[in-house]
Amino acid sequence: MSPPRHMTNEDPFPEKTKGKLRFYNMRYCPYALRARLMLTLKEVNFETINIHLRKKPEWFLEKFSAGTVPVIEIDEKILGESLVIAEYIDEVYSKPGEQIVPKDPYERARARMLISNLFPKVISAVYQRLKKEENWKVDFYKYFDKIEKILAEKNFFAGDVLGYADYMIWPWMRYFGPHCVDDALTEGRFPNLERWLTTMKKDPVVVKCAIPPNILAKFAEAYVTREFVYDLE
Amino acid sequence: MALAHPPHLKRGDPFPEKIAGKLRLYSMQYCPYSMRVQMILAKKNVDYEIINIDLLNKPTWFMEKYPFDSFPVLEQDDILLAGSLVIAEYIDENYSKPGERTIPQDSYEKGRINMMIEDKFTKAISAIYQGLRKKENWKENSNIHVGELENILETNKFFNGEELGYADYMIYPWLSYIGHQGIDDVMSTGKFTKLEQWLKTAAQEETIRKCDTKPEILGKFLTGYTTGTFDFDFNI
Repeated sequence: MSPPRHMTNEDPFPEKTKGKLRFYNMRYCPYALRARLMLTLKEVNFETINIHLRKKPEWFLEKFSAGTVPVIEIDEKILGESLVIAEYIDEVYSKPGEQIVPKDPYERARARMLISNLFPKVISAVYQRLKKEENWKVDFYKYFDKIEKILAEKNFFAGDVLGYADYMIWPWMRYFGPHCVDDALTEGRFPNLERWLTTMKKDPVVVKCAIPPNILAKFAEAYVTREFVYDLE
Repeated sequence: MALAHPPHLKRGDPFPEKIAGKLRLYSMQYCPYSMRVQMILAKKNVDYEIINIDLLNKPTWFMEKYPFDSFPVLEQDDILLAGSLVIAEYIDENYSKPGERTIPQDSYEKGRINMMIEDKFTKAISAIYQGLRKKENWKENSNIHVGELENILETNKFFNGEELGYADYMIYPWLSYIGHQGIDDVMSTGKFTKLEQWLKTAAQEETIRKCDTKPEILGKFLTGYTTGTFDFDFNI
């Protein structure tokens, strides 16, 4: 069964179910995937509304003027910003003792530093490659060497066990492989990253939220052509 | 009583030896991101030392020991953190008396405030810097993004809600620039009456007063955005 179509300005507002969490998504948006991974990990009972990001419905912009995804909505409560949503879901929907955002204040601060300071640079480098910008290798090697070093010292970005930081960067790492970006992890320069990628691909939550690789690659063409097509499945 | 600020260390200046157990903040006197942290430290009455850094001519040891892309930097023995929001949250968590957290503790309230900071504040801050640097379209961007802040104050007296709080501290350093150095006509249009009132009230708040820079001094520093030459130590 195909996933729900991305809603445009011509679609009427889909009526809400009282008390049910609604997740405004775009199937191939990496930021939105962060929220989807958390919702799936915590087994939240939620519904998904996919949004066409080039023809945004007015009713979506009225709820959230920034117009970005992800957004979550539960009755009157609305939250946007992927990391704000991720932390909210972890706090509110975790079973006791099962939060993945670190509890220790210093550990949490270090995780935030990684996710809010270093990862955006990594993400930017990935976009440079996806857009096939001329000097993409400069930033790419600079920041990927840094994360390779982290993974040389520990199994996961979160430490010994796959955790919050790993899920928060996964959406941009999905592109690496023969299906899409096949020229970046070359010459055995990133053996630990490759190890991490292999492990992440098998994680049950990652698998549940996976987009078929050929579809992801098709969507990624838009970073070069600038012609975004949303309903590919 | 304003904070005492040591001279800004630059290339060639020796590394100031650490004191075991002492909290140290690598800062810059007029850095708005540093001010965010200083306000939370002041609010929690934390004892710490300031090491000011000349951000345009950093000591080599600073770049080697603290190779972060974020500023300010907090260090205490093995604890090392960088970035204003990361540090502010850590201080609030570690040094608050029971029941006296500055950051809202209700999950949704906290989410709402953090969303405001990540989205609306970031855009307003960017517009203010564009104004200082006289970038093209700065007035238009200011009207939109500083305008969004005015909209927030239509519903609540303060960014944090009924009372001045975390969100207000996190935006104050940049809003205190309005009125200075060529972005004064953002306010003088008379369009942002709520912001003007907020600014007057916030400037009198105890914690903000402790960490604020005198307007004439701030104005002098901000001329650097026009002349291209910053003097970090002229106030010392």
